[in-house]
Amino acid sequence: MVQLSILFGLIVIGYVFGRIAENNHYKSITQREEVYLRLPCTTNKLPLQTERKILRSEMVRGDVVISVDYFKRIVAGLRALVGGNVTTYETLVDRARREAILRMKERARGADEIVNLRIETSSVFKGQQGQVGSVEVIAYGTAVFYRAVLD
Amino acid sequence: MILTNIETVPGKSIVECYGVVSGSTVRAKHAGRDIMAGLKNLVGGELVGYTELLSESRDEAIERTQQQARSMGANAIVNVRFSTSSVAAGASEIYVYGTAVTVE
Amino acid sequence: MNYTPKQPDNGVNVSQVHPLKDFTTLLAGVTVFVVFVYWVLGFTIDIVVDHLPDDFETSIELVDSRLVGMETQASEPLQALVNQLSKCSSITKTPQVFLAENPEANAVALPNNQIWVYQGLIDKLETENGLAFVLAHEISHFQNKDHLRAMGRGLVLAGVSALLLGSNSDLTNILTPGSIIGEANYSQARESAADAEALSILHCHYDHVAGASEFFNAMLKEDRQDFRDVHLLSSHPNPEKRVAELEQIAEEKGFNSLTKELKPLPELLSQ
Repeated sequence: MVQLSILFGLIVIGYVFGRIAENNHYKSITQREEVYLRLPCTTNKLPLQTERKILRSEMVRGDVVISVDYFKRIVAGLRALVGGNVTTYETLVDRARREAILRMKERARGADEIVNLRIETSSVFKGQQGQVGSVEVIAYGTAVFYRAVLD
Repeated sequence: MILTNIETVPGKSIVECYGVVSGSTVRAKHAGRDIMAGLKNLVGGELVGYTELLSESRDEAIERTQQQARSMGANAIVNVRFSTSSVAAGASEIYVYGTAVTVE
Repeated sequence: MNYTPKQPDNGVNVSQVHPLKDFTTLLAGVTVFVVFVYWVLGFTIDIVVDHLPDDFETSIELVDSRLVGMETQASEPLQALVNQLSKCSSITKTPQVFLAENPEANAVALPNNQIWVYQGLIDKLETENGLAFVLAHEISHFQNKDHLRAMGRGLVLAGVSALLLGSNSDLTNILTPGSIIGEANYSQARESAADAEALSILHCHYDHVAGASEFFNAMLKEDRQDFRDVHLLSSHPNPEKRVAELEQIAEEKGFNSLTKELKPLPELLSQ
């Protein structure tokens, strides 16, 4: 019984703090996405404005490791018994991807466009019993700087 | 909705570009399937349960990508890429992403 | 190619299910499943054990972790009582009985055909009839092969949980209440069956069943909190319920429970 109450205590802590952290993170992501919306980002190999001269280009990269809280891990464990959509992990990967893309855009300071975006996901830390505690997302692409139009 | 994994839609020209769209799913099979797959692993061969799992997940991820593209007013997604990872034991995570465009 | 800055609908990649709702439905569903598994297992093991040959248990030798380090000694008067009671039951091999140095009021039936009576139990009793009921109860466990059933369930459940949950101790813990309810359900039924059987043995030996509930009454008199616990989760039925059941069975079978001719405890034990 003691073990069980400790477990439920952990679940409650995980739920409350995990939810607060997630809401804050989402708020910050949406804010920053608004800011970087003007920076075009595509998975294409060629820049959008083919007629303009290109000054230089460089590879930019953004990465992030995000962990899931205890509550969600338990729910995912139960879900794995039953099968179906592991909904509690969806926010985890969603947050990680959007954060990685944002970090990449933040590094491409002054760029006019990012082309050939690629995204990779991996589980860096297999927690105890093969339950994965966190995901790593890396987003990379080529930042293109156009020559300023003089005329 | 047209999906291609090349830069363009052959025979059409891209007039408008909206940026990256993506769809993802995390799915698990019930424990019975996991056990069957474990047994099948002894002899090798196709793990039908897992093939099904991954293919269902991909369908759903593509559907979600298309929903995003539709919400932007696009009619095609070009340069679509798939990526798969294992986020939890027995669960698979599928990610699909591409560039939402309008073609004519 | 033009670029139109647009924010995609980010809601599509996240299911709009409240995580707490997901959690409660999953937990409830899996718990019901676990209870159901216990129920089905009870039936299956019962069928298997009923078809086992009588000498099956002599081929197994197990050590119960609860009993490690406990001092025991053979007890002449206890053995004599068990010998007599065994004649009234259908078991072919008389169990060996030992007196264990332990203040707890308890008695256990072990797989190697042994009964251990704890000293704490003897201290609670005043009549031989009360002691005879406890011994008859343990003999009934042998007669019903309850120790084999318990062991079989333990083995199968360990296998099933290893297969399904692996070594995921968090999940094992969270499903504990479900498994306790399932286990208690089965175990209480076996205890009640053993009580009923013991009453018949007692009637056969003394020709009356007075004093059968002495031990339960002694426990009730102490009014200890742990006996007032939630009996849904306990392996044994609540003592009040057991007394009531004993009275009911005695009435149904026409056993005489009113006689006052109770024998005192054998002298060697009452010291």
